[in-house]
Amino acid sequence: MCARITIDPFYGHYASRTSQMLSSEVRDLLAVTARPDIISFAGGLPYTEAIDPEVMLETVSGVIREECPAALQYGPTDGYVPLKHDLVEVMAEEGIHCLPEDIVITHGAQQALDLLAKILINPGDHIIMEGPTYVGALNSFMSYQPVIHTIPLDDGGISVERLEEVLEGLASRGIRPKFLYTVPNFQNPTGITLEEDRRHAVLSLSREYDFIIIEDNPYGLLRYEGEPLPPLRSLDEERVVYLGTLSKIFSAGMRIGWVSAPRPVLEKVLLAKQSADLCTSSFTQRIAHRFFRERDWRGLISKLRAIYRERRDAMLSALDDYFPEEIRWTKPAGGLFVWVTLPEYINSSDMLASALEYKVAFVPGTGFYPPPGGTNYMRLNFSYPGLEEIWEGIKRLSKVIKREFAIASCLGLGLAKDKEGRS
Amino acid sequence: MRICVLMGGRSLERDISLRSGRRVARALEELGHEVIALDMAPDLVKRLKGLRPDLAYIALHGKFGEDGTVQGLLDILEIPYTGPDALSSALGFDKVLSKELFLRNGIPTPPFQVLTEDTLQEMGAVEALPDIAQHLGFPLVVKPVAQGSALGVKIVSEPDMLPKAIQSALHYDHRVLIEKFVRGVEVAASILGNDELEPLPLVESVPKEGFFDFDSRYTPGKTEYYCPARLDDSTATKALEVAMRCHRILGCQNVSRVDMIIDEEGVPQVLELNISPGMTETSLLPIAAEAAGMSFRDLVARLVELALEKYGK
Repeated sequence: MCARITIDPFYGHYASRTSQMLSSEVRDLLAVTARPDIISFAGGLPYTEAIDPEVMLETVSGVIREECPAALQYGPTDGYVPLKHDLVEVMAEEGIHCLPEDIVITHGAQQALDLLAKILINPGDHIIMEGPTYVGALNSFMSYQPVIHTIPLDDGGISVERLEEVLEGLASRGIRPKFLYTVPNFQNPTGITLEEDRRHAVLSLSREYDFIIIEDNPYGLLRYEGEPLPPLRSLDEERVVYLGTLSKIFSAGMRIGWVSAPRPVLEKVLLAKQSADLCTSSFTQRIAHRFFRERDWRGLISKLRAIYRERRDAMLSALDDYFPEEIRWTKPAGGLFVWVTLPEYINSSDMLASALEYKVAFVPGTGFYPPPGGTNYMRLNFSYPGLEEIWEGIKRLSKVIKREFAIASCLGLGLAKDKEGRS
Repeated sequence: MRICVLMGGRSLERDISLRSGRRVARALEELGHEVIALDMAPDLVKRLKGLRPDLAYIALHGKFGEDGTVQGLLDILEIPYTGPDALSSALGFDKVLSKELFLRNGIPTPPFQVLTEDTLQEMGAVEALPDIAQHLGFPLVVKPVAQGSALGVKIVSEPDMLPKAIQSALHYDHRVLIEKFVRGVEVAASILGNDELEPLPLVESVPKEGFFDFDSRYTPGKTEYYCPARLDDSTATKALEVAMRCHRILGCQNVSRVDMIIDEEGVPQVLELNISPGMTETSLLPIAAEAAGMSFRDLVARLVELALEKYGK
């Protein structure tokens, strides 16, 4: 007598979209990075120590003292109106002019991504993303089973020519992609910023081929050098769905993001949000509003900029000092990440295993592409580790990479590639 | 009894170990023990000295937990622990040493060769790859010598893929085992016992795609399991006998799990012996125990009993 063993008795009950929800070996490896002896460039964590706990204590006490019943109550689905006024001001900092009624506050911009995917993607629909792209958007979209086209990035952002090719290819098959998802400023994971003329080019393509642009802008205010570029939303209110967040300029733990979109899209987002969670936390929205009303939030952003700029500089200097010549990396003018390109014969997911031996961690590139891409990249975060840790961590990582080169070379892997490159 | 469950640590299988450990800790509490879960960290010895547990339950996987390191340390501290001793652990974790010992004792194991990072870097061993391929024939399985959970394991079907597979395995260990791929039925034999052995029913694993890799092992639904395995009685009996011999050859006490492939001739080819089998929801030892009528709690209780018996308590 033999029996088939069923590990998960509900296996047959799940929706097919769960098969797109992936767990991975890399995630398990990254579990090790929680250890204190590991210098981790893996997270995307903002430096929340920048806010004085006493300030938060007063802010939260104020909410409880003066508006406790309302803070403990449900709120409107579209968000707490006084906070919307603050968000209008935050957007104005970057040159976007909109009204409070153009905004729906969400549980982090991550919820906005999920709601947008829910209202826009049918299984089999075509969408366009940057390659690489933000892993949270990728995973959120993938669970709605679209066909994903990725457009490669160079130092100026997505390749407009490639985008046009893809659009033409789709149009010739009678397919209209639903949307293009882009993080135009200091993109996660690359730190790359979309050039101004390309912003105009992308917008004009969106009109020509009739697709929506989802502009996700968590890092726009974290610019460390150069002049800000106009957000896509400020150039075209009709086609652009704009996502903002307080995660990188105030608190990620408060889970406050927002979507500002053309009215009909916003209506659908609102309906979707209603069924998803009724409303974003009244308590955290009121805390955020009080903070933005009473405190120098622009000063906090300046403080964060100064801290992150110093850390970015440390990371770029350390990379210059320690990393071998064959390796390239981005030099972001803002944001939280540096993107490193390794030779093609190096698999960064495997390399993470040896990096952990050297007590340093990063995120391998594969998570930022739909499978099976991205094997020879790594994302390094510089906002969370301190300056000394950054130098020490990059030093450790350089040892890992040098061993990597030595192994590849003695297996004839690097060499073979060189030959191909020259021919 | 006061029992410390050792779990986590810095091994690459940290997450799996935490899953095993939490599950074991819950079962031990249900059994009425005083349970302290310890994530293995640099303060381990200090904490163990302070706690003076009656028993350490080793729910660690991978390096330091499964290779004899922590076992040797517990010997020094004179803290009894579950599972095989330091030597058996070290032998089991080293796939080459254990295969050599199996061969010397007439246990069938797939033919293999070993390459080290040093032979590659210092002696140009890459030139020997064609010889290895010729000796063994494709397809080949390339794996790190000392690593669990199929991390860094690749199946190679043609010569061009071999260097990349070796490169991948070298991330997990400085030595690489290149083994002939044996087609057949993949089964795991879990053995309980010290002097007298009780084999649990064989568990057969059929991954839905590819081979039994890390994801298939730990994602419910990615692998189908059959227990007992779909084998005729004499083949199954032979496989269990071979597994028990492996357990004895490496001098194991308490528990071991022997992974093997029943080849097309019905011969059980032993791949490796695990001294700290996984205890997660998708792990093979608890599945086998269940088929033998032991609940997870019964299994944990039995392992504690066997550990105490080993120390004559």
